[in-house]
Amino acid sequence: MFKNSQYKILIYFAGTVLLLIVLHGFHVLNPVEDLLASVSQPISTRFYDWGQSLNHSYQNKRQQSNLQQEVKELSKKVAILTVANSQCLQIQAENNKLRATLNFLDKNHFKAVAAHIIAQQAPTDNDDNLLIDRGSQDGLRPGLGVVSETGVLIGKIVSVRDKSAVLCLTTSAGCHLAASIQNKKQSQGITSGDLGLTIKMNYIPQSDKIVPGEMVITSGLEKEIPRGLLIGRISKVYNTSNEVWQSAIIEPTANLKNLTIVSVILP
Amino acid sequence: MIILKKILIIIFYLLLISLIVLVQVSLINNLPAWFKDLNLILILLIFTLFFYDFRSAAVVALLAGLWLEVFSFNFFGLYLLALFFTLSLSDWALRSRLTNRSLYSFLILILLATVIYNFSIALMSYWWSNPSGVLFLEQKHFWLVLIKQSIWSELAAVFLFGLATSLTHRFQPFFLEKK
Repeated sequence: MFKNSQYKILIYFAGTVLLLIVLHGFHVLNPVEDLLASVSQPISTRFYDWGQSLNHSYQNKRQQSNLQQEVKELSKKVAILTVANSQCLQIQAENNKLRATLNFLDKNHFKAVAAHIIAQQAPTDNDDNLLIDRGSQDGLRPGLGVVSETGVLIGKIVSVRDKSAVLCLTTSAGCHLAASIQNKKQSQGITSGDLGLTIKMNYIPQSDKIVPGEMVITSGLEKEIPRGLLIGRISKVYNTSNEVWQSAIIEPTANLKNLTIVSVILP
Repeated sequence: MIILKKILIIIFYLLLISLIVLVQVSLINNLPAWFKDLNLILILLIFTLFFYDFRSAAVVALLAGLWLEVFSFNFFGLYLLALFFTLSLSDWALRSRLTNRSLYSFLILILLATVIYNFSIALMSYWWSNPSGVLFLEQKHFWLVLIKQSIWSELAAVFLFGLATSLTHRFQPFFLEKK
């Protein structure tokens, strides 16, 4: 296994190791150890500093890449949460509208069909029509009144299909409604849209006294629309002595540009 | 003149060994993960044993061991004994089990030395400091360090063998051809 000379070296080697350990035990080696420590100090300090700076720069780079990774992941999470948040807000708004609608319908004991607006027809002439996701299968028919979540009349059904229906808004020129002003005489008239922005009420008897600010409601003369649904508020009155009828401009109470859910009143 | 030259050569080697130990203790041990597992002393020891002889390797082991003990936080003798065991067993393996001095022998020898050195250090530290605690064999850290050190040692072995064979023709393969 080992040659004699090998054995010798091995024994010397082991002996030296043991001797060093024993000498250290008796503190004889202390001067040598101190000398080695003091001699090596300047070099080892320099090496240590290099090691530290290398380690720091490596750690910084690693931390930087970790932070970049974290920023990327957080950005992704923010995007997901933003979408979720907007969905929540939409659901909340929808929920509020449905609660308001339900509240209105309960209060007035109306039977109604809730519907989502699914499209807006391109405005032709002065018509401003909306498409809803309920149709004749749900009991809808032309002439039925449509209200917003707060119960304000926003239009009426003009045509129906099996699963959808078209409604004209009160501001639409072709949308005629039998209306009544909430004054002493309960003045009657017919409303129609004016330029898609306001409502004009015509055929008001000249003898009736009307003033801006008075409310306009459905008169109940139409078979399919019950009396008392709010249409809007009079903002201007046109009254000339030589005319048989007077007219008034009505500002719609409901925000017709922000409709998502509506209710079709079934009389 | 020849004696003076010999003395100068010995001083040069002693300084070189000391410098390598200082690099190991102060620089490499401070490097980030993976790099800190490079064991230059072990590589130097096996390199000396493989390319020179057991006597020179023993001198390397003694000097490097003494330096390591000066900087050590463990009991005195831990590194000296670990290097003694490593060198003795590696020398035995080189003489009795490895038939030639090829790259493969060098790779096997350095791998064996890494395993012996790490086991010696871990076993002695375990006995000395924490005999009732968890055995090092059950610790993941021990095996990770051993694997990393083995990889480093093997890479260093390939590099050093290439360097050595490019400087000397002693270890280049030769073939007998029939003409």
